[in-house]
Amino acid sequence: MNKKSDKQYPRKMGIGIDIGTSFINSATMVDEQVKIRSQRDAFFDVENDKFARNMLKQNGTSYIISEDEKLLYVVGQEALNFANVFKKEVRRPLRAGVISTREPEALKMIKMILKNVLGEPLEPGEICKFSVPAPPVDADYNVVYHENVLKSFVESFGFKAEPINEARALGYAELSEQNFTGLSLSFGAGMVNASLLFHGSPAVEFSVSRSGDWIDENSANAIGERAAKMTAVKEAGIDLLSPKNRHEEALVIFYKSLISYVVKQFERKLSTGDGIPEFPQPITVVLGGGTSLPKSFDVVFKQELEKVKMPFSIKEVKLASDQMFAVAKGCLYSAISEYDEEE
Amino acid sequence: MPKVMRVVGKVVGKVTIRDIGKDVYYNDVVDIQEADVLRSNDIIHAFKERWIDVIFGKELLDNHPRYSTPMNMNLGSRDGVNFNGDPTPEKLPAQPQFDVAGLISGLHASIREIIKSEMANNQSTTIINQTTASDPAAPTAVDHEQLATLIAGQLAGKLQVPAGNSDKAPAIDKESQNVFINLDDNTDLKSNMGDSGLGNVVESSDGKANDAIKRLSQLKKKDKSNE
Repeated sequence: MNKKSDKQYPRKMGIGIDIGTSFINSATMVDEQVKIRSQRDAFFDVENDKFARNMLKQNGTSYIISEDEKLLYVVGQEALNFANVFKKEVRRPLRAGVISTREPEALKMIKMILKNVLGEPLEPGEICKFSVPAPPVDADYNVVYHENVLKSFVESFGFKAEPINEARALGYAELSEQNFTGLSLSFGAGMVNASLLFHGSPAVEFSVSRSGDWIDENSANAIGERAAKMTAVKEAGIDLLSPKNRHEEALVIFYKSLISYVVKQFERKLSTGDGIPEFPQPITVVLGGGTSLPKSFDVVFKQELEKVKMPFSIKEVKLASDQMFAVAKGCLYSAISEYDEEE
Repeated sequence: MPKVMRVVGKVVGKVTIRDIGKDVYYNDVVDIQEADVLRSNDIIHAFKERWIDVIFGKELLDNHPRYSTPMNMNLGSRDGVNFNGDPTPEKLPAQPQFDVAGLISGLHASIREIIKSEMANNQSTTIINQTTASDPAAPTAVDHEQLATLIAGQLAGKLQVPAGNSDKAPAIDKESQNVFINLDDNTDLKSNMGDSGLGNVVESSDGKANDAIKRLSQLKKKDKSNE
C-alpha cells in the first residue's frame, strides 16, 4: 500500500512508460514486484472483410479498424508474424524514435496502444513518467512535437504526464548504487540515447538517429533480405563475437559499425568540455535497450570505447540487469519517488 | 510587399497559431494577412519548427522584426533529411513561376479604378435617404480602398498557386512555445482490444527497486532544498 494515501490500492501510486520505436512498455509496482506490460509498437494491415475478422478473432489477435474501415491493422507481435508470413514489412506508428508523419493514422494508433498498455489511473492526476529522446546530433527531428503529442495523449487518459529523458531513466534504474552517477546509454530501435549523470543530474544528454532499425535495414540490404527477417534473426539470439551464418555476419558488421559511430559521436560531443563535471572517481557505464541484447555487446562496446579519449576515467562497462525493461523501470521509480517525496 | 502569406500545415494534426487565432491543419493551405504575420511571434516559431511551410509571401517573414536570418546549411546535410530522416517527400519538379504579389497589387489597383468609375457614373442617380455628414444617423461612406482590398483578397484566395518547400533551412528558436498542436479527440479508431489490456505481462522481483526509489526521493528533496 502506498504510504501517501490511506486508500487501499492494488499497486503503488506512480506509473512509468517507455515509448519506443519497437516496443511500448509500461511499469507498475506491487510491493517489490515490478509488473511490466510490453507491446510491440508495429502494425500490419489486412483487408477488412468477414473472413479476416473471424480469423483474427479465433486466433485472439488484437486489431484496430482503419478510419475508412477498409483495413484492419493487426497490432503487436502478431504484426511481425504476419509480415514474415506474407514476406512484407511491418508499419510503425513511431519511426526513428519519434512519431511518424508518414503514417496518417499513426497518432490515433499510438493513442489506442498507449491507453491499452497504461490502463486507468488509480486516481485522477496520478503521475505518469514517460520516456522521450534527446534531440539527435545527426538528424533533423522534431522531438518537441513528439513530446507534446505524447503528453497530451497521456493526460487525456487522466494521468499527470511528465517526460523524462530515456537514457536518464535507464540511469535511475541501474545506477542507484553509484548514487546515480555514471554514463547510461539506451540502445533502442530508432535511436541511441546517452546521458552523463552526476548525482542524478544530467550533465550531457543527446541521441543519435541510428540504432536497431538501422542495423536491420542495412544488413538486409547488404545480403538482399527483408528487414523484418533480419529482426527475427537478431531477436532469436546472436553472439557478436561468433556469428554462425551469413545473416548473423551481416548483422555483426553493422552492429560494430553502430557501436563505433555512437562512441565517436559521444567523444565529439564531450570534446568541447562544456558542462562536464569533475568526477572524483572513475564512473560506471551502463548499457540497456533491446538493441544491446546480443551476446558480447558489452565486450564490443568496451573495445570501441578504448579507442577514444574521454574526459573522465571509466571503472566498468556493464549491461543493465534488465536491458529490455530498464527504461520503463527507471520511469516508474522516478514516478513513485515523487510520492515518497511528499511524505 | 505581398499582402498575404500562404502557408501549408506540415505536421499531422492541427497547429494553432495562438496569438493570431489561426488553425493550420496537415496539408491544408491557409492565407494569413500581412498585418497578422508581422504581429505574430508564434508564426515565426511554427515556421522555424517546420510545423508550417510558406508557399508564397516569405518576404513578410524576412521583414518580420523577430525573424532572424536562417543559418546557411550544408546542402549535403539538408538533402535527404526531413522530419523522419527520409528523403524529402514533397519536392516537386520545377513549376512555372508567376508573380502572385504583383498580380494581386495590379488587381487591387484595377478594382479601385472600377469602383471609382462606377461611383462617378452613379452620381446622376437620385440618392435615397441622403443625409449630411454631421448627422449621426448618416450611413458610413463607402471606403473604396477597403472595398478594393476586400475584393482583391477574395479573388487572390481563388488563385491556384503551386505548392513547394522553402529552400532555406529555418534556425531553431524555442522562445515561443505558444503554438499549440491539437488533435481531434472525438474520432478514435475502433478495435477489438477491449479493456483487458494489450501486450504481454512480465513480472519480476527487483530487489533494488525500493532502494532506488528511496535514493531518488532523497536526491529530489536535496535538490529542492538547494533551490
